[in-house]
Amino acid sequence: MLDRIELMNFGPITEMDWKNLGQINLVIGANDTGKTFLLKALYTGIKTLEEYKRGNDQRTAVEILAEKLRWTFQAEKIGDLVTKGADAPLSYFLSSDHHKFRYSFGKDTTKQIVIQENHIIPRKSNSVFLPAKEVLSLYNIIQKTRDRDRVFGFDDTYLDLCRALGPLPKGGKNSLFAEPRQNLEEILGGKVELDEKSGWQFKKENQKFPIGVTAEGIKKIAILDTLLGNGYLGPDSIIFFDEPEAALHPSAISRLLDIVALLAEGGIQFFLASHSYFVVKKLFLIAQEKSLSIPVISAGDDGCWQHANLKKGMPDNPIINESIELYKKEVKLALQ
Amino acid sequence: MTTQPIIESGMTFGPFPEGHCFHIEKSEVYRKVKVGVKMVEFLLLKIRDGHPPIVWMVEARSSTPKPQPQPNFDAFIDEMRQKFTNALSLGLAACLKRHEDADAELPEAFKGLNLSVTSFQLILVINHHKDAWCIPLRDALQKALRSTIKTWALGPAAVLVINDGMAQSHGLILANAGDGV
Repeated sequence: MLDRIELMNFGPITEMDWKNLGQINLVIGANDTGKTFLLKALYTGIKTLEEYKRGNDQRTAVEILAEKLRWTFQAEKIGDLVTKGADAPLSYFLSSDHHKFRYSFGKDTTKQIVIQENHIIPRKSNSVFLPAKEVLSLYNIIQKTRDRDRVFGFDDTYLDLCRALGPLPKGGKNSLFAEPRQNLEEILGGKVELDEKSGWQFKKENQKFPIGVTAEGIKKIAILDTLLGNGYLGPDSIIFFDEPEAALHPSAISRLLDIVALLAEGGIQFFLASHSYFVVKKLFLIAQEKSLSIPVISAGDDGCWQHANLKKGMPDNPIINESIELYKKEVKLALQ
Repeated sequence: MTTQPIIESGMTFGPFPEGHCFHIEKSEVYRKVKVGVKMVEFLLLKIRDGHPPIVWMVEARSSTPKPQPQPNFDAFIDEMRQKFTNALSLGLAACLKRHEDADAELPEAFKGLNLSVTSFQLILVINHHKDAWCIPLRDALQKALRSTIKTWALGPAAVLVINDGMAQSHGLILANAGDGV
């Protein structure tokens, strides 16, 4: 489990130190403040550690990391990821189960990264990034543009997810996730399946529907269900969930977050980025009900990151501030 | 001329222009029906140029349960619902002179209201309540009052929950008069 992240001069993130991470962690803030960027930064680090020394892979950690950064952020040269105008190089530090991983590089770097520390025990788990948009309906296009054509367009978070969704050797049923999967399938009312001839299909009772005519929200939840069902995700996995609220009804958001809490109890760590009041409020209630630490980091307009914990209360944040401003305008209109 | 200020829940409301405030909770009309009938503090008539008149029905509270599903919270919302629906009924009944005391104690401006065009604003004022807490409370109260809003064709923002700061900025309580005067 990640317990600390420290970034400097990483794209829009000039300085950030997030300690005492929990099983569920939340990033909030306005558009263009770096929420998705932060999730991707974490993802590249953790995927590097997961791919390093796996099986017969002989790539060095530097090679994996350089490739991961380039294809995730789609930068011509990875030096472009250094904050514009920064005097110091980009610096990245994470701690997983108190083992450290640290690297840095400057703005002229094309491939050469200096890994200053890597004490992380090779990770056997698989982590995944769930983007705001679902990938099932773009499954073939993503694989074609990336695996065959090798062109930018869909970044590594999309490609990795498509690969993860594919059929994997069954590792036996993981009873740890039986309850969350049952809950997911109750929301879905069915399940999605990959058919060799027809591609992804949504199966409800005895009927099959092409994935293209299936609702966005259904596809999104089906992705999580599939990753749990095919054994890709395990108790040590980390899920980076960008805008879990996208395309979901508030009641479905609430149910999905209950499932997130169940999965977190089963060992999966979550990093969620959200704009949604429902997400913040529901996680606040989960933190209260379960007496669970849910650290929150909020990107302010000034580039400073504010820390809070939902166990201690609702954070002061732009989502809530905006809802207050809107309400005050409503009061003013009504009482003028 | 102004009415006497109304001190409730640690807040001082008014003073308001003479003839524009009906202290319904202390009225004879209410005293005679009060058993089993919960009531708001007062009705305030606002006359606006170029707009129909509006009657603010104001209830004051010093605190409220947290807006989370719990019997205490539901009971609070139901109590507020009763107060506002009763205030609407009794206020209108008084204007229509259905109670014999109404003619004597209802301010003149209320008696001349054209009730078919008059708007009504149901306002719960909570002292020292955080801005953010007002929103879910308003949502819950509005939901509880939905049938009243629909049957009386009240406006989309007819129900408001505000704190002492907002009440001050909209002239309900005087500046620096909020703390237990």
